Amino acid sequence: MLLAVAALAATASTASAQLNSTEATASLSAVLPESLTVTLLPNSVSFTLSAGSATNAGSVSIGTTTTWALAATRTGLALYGYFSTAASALAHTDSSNTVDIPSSRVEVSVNGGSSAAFNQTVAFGASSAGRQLFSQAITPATATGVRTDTLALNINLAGYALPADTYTGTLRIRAQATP
Amino acid sequence: MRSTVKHPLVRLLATLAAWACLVLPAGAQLSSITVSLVPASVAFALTRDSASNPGNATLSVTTAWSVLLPGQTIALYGYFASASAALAHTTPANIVDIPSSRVSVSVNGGAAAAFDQIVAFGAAGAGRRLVSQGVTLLTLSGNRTDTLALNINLSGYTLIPDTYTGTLRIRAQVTP
Repeated sequence: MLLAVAALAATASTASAQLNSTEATASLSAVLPESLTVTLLPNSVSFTLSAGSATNAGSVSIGTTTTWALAATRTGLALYGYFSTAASALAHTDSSNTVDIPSSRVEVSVNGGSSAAFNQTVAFGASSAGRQLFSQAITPATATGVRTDTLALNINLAGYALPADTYTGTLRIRAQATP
Repeated sequence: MRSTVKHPLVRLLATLAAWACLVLPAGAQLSSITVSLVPASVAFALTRDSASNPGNATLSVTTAWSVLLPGQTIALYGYFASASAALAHTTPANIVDIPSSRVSVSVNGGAAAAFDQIVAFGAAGAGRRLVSQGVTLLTLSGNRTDTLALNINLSGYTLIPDTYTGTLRIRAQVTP
């Protein structure tokens, strides 16, 4: 019995010190994707046209809200407005009418600035049917953000013969981050 | 006349002790504790500003020990090497990391808790004690398996889109 106790005590002395296991590890990987969204409010604008008039303002201005969360490698952000065809941004609805309103006759004023026609070739839409609405630099400090811009539309009919009709079309808005 | 018959438990202890004395060299450690993890990796699909970004898998941690003493305590710890960058950005232009306080763990379905403790291992404020149990006569040797469900809390934390990587470390400790 004494032998057992003595031997166990000797064993216990080696076991009573602090004991650490080796390290087990798990690799963690987390991905936060980029996001870039644009919302429009309202989503319809009407125009009461006057023949030959340069000023045919839309019934309301459009508020565009651009929200982004971009990678730190992005350096630029731009917003574009465009139509799917330059020749008929707003198309006639009367089948006997063959005349449309080209995108170059539709103008936009961004945040109260000077009006400019949708006559640029931009990243989206038909050739010569677009307009860059804004562009801004992106830095790591501005990699996430939100901005709202106001678009006031106008249809310029000065010097353009347009038969009486109802003309309809879709203005498209899209943002792009680069590179 | 003295009896030479011993109690069976005494005979067992004597045998073990004698074996230990004969077999082990001086200073050798008879006790042991090991930890193993399955799987070896966890992925997170993050949502901006969301408090709930669970890992795609739970970790199963098996702790095995032998020849401990009654009264000792087994503790299991999880920790990171850095409190400020438990998961670090991978894009050089990005300077934002995920701190360990944003990584939480639920042990065996319990309440989630962040890796924000100072524990026996790892960086200050980057750890969490996961389990603790006392050793009894019935558990001098044994093993246990615990489940760890990880989550990354991004509520109120602005994180730049990127891939973030890090290493969760697990270690057990027996204290007297």
